[in-house]
Amino acid sequence: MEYVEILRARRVLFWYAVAVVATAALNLLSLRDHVHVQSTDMDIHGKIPLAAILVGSAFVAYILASCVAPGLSNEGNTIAISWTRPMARWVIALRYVAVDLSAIALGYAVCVATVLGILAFYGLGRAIAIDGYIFDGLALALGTVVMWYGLLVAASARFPGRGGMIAGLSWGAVFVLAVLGQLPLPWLVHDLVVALNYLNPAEYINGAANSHANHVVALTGVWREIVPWCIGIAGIVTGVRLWSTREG
Amino acid sequence: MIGISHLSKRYRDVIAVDDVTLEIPSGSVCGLLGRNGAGKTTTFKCLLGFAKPDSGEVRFDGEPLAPYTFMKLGYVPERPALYGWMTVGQHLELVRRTQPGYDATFAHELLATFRLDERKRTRRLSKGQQTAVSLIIALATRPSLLILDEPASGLDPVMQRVVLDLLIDAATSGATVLLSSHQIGQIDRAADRVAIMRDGKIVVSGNLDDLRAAARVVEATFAGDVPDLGALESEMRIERVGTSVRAHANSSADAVAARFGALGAVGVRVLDRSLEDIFLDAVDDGGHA
Repeated sequence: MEYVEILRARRVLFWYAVAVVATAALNLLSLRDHVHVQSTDMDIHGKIPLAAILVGSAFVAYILASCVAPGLSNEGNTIAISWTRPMARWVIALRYVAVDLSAIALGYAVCVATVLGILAFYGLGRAIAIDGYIFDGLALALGTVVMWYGLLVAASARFPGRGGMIAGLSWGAVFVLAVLGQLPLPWLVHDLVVALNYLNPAEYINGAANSHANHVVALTGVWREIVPWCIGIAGIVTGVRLWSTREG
Repeated sequence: MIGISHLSKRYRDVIAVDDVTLEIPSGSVCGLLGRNGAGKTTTFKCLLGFAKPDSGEVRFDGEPLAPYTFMKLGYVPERPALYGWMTVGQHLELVRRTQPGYDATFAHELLATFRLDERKRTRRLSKGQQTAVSLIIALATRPSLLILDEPASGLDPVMQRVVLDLLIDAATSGATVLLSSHQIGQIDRAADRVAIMRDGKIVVSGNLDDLRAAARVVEATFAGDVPDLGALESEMRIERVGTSVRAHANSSADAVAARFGALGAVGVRVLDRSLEDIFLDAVDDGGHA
């Protein structure tokens, strides 16, 4: 049954690849002779931390997550096929999730590789710093991606065919919550916004590399990496259960 | 065999399926008839596990519905539910990957019969062609259980005939077929059993020949005005047209014919009723089923 989701993911990855190639080509063609790396892109030692690239690339993976997460919800229109296969519905759902996460991971890896390739093209390969935060950066980036995906799956599981709309609205919600988190709101509203921002994947990344940043999500160290994974996995489990037990 | 026992399903304050009990033996085609909203599709949903019944149970070959039931069960929904962005061939590939009993040769024979192009995306197909794809998906595994909700809708008369022949062939091979249709002629042609639903209940069910034989009409013509029919008026439904009378006598047809003769009828005929008559009687609130 995952065949359908493989076809969906293949379609998403095809257009993603077109976008990556077009962006890279435009970048290389237009900036080749004019590139000046700003100091803000580097740390105090004039290096570009690999961990920062890993975390920054997560935004591309968010886009991919938004594109593939509605797949399960979209099955609501075709249950005459998907629910009449000789396998348990939760197995079907988990296979969809496995395909989606694989597609996101592949897209993420391609994004990181493309960024590194472009930097190398500009002769900045030696400026990339492989420090001790690589695994932290990777865990945080992938954790927030899984979190975004899991929340979308959970939110759309009981809304057949509305997954795309929910994924689109999630981007608005993420930015609105992030902005509201920085505003001096009355304490009750502010606390509510802060609480909601714990479900905002972007807030875990926001200022993660800078300990002096104004963190809305007041988690530090390993907790900042573990909590998104936990929320993401809980979202996936909830979404799979809601999808498997709903009525058609 | 498909067994439905005291099945009930309620949506808020509406009883969609009300204590439905029905048994369809192997090798039988059962036509499920009813007006729109009678509960046919909800019954199918409960059968397939798409909706959870409030009470009652469903058994396929004596066993409750489980994922492996779908290895031997084919389903055609009321409205074709296909992946519009996928081609016909990709739909067949999906069936091949998920159904161990997929018969590729038969599937391609069906494609040729319905004149479908494997490379076409299903959203580019007409409604009838989409129905044909749904039928191929259901039939390609040569299932022993078939549930079809309006399987011939949108198809041209030639293809409708083909579909009915396929269903009859499946039943002849031992399959259990349950189909609904608004076209009584299709049921009349394909089914050997019939169940008629009204307001969520089965109001008539049984072998079609038995129902026809039991549901008989006595037509009498009188030379002048129709005389007083006495107690007959209250015993059964009587229709008067000029000097003729139609009495829905059912099993007492011979006795009623004799009574008309005694009342001076110049012509008396006993007729088996058509399935359409039986259906109209069953779904008519004031009718005698």
